[in-house]
Amino acid sequence: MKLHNLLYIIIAASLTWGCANNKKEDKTLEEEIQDEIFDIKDILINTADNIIIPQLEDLKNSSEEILAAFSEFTANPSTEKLVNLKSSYKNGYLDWQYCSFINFGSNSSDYIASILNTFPVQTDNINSFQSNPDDNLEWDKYFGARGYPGLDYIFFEGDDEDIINRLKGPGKEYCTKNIELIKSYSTNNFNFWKNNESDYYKEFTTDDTKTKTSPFTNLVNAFCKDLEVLKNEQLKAPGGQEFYTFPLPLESEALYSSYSLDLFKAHLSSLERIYKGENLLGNNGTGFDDYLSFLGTKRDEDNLNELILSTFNKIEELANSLSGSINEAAANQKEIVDELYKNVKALVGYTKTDMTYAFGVNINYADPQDGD
Amino acid sequence: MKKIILPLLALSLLTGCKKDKEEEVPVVVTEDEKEKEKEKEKEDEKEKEDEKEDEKPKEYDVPKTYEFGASVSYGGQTDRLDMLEQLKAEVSKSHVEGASVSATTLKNMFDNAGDGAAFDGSTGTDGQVIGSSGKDLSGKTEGLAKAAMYDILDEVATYSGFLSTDNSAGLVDRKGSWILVNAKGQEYAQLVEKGLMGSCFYNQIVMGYLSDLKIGKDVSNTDKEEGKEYTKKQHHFDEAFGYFGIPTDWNTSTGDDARFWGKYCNKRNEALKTNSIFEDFIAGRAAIDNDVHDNQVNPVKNIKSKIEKVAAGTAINYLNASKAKTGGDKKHALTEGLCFLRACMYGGDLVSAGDVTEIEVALNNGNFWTITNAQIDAAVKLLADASGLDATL
Repeated sequence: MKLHNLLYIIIAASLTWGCANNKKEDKTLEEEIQDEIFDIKDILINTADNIIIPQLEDLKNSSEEILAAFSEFTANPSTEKLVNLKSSYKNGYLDWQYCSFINFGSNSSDYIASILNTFPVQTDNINSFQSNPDDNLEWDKYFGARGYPGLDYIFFEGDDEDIINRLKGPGKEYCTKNIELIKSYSTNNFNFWKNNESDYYKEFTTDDTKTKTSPFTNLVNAFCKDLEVLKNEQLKAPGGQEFYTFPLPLESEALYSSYSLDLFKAHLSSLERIYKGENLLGNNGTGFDDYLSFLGTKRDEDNLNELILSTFNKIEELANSLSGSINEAAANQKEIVDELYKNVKALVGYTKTDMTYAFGVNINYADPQDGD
Repeated sequence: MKKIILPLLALSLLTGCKKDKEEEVPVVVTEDEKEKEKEKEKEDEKEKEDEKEDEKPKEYDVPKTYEFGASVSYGGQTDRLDMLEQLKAEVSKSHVEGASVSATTLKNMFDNAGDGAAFDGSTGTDGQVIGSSGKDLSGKTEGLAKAAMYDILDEVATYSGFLSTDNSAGLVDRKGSWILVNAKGQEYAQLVEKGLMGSCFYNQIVMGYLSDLKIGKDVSNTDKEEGKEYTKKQHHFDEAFGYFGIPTDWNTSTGDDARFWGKYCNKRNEALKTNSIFEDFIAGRAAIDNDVHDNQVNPVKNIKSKIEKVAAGTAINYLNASKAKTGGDKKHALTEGLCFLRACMYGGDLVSAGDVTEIEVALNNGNFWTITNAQIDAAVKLLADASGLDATL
């Protein structure tokens, strides 16, 4: 046998042996799953097209409806027109609950919540504005005296006669400016997404990275932060939780209309739909649930996705068993409120800690300037 | 014709040769002259070798930490940093409803009256009694800012413990606790702390100790100061380092142990890579230790440029962050931004004092009660343009 023939045989044998050995290496299930690719762009595209843009459009439309209802009211003030005005306000406030998580993208997105929904409302400053109607409501001195909480006070404080007189008199200019403010921010943010301004829609739906400022990181952070708004701002103080050893009703959202529970429920359903990738009609698209399910992440022995879904259900069930406003529930159904808070807090842990870890995304919304 | 040209050419060549021969003068060289020539050649050669030797860069070791033996000394700066911490803490005592703070106490702390008496024997970073160095903050603060600081300290005492009503000076809520603000809504504690970081520390580093007057070619770097282990130049450079607020082994620490400028340098490092300033400080000091002036030029330039980046970058960061904040929290962030912006006027080549004035005007003339986010955006854009930094920091 010639030398080169011998070499061929040795090389072929070693290759065969190598391949056989590779096959013998059993991959774990997790490793095999990781070999497949879950395209997080699917979540981003679904969220942009079926959640963000339609919900911002609803917010814009409802702000126009408030303006129209107010114009009708001022043309001929009456109790009937006031009912219509209050109803348009409530629809707008509910629509805001579906948009409050959108704190990324446009230049104003990171502070739109501070313009449209800072509560508790500062009634002194609303009254002060009525004496200074040339002031700009965007001035920081009016930070707690504008947006939906401002309308809540001006449309609901006192009886109908008081309210009608207020709206005919010193409250008219305030309302006009405040509704314009709501409309302007709602419209600008809708246009930003719909018209692909600054090329952001395109970036949001095509960038599948998980860097600190990537669309996916922004979306996950926005979801977690908004869930903390539900826990800390809508429930904690008025519900008398954590270091609030007794309920603080004045801290409540929608204090004067007593719509706080309706708003809470709307916000909760919005967060659940974002998690599931579901639009307002209940059509399910790709969401965080699909990604977690794909990853098969566990928390102790539990499947994390199933745990999050069951916690959402439990919270929904508890919220539905409350009646009246959050303040009334805290006064009359404290045990359920306690249980509700406990579950919301657990959900914050499952998502902010476990889900983000599974996704490989860092939480970046903690205020880096605290303590300075 | 050809027959004529060739003989002519031959003739002219012969003529030329003849002429050369005529100019040749025989040279007679004596033995002495030969010897002298050899010696001159040798000397020239030695001179060339010496020149080559001079052109070679002087080689020396550059340490990884700011360790240069017993010659390192900046106790006065450490004491001043401690004093500012104490002064800020005293100002913050006004953040309680009904609390009173004494203007005399505050000004005594600023002046270090009684060489430590104003600090009640508190222990400082180096274990010293704060103020015992005899140094003070006021004496090293830029003139106009120093005069303004006395007014600020008076106002802190005036409004201490009083709630703000109808947007007047007084206490406003910041996320569940009080902060004291002036009539424009600017937070006093920041005007004092961040204000002095600019008008005292930054000013001293850049305009003072890193100037030619302090570390230039003509500053003594051979003889030690009387009774000291350092030369004048070494000490001046150390004093600049001391004002920056970082430990001598910052490279091995987490970065969290930095104070004042060091702390904010660390915060900006991710975006602006400013922590390399530590290597610049070491390189500059090593150059001074080895008396190679040329080698200190670039590090000093880098130090100045990086602190300016920290100041402008931090201002942009705070101003941007303020947009999503409200009430006292917004005023806090805006005041931080304002003070870091003002710091830019004390050094650096990019943001001039004129720029600072223009940006402050854009920032609603510093009135934070009536400022809008659109004004903040406009101010950030101006600062980003002037500093060459990203407006989204």
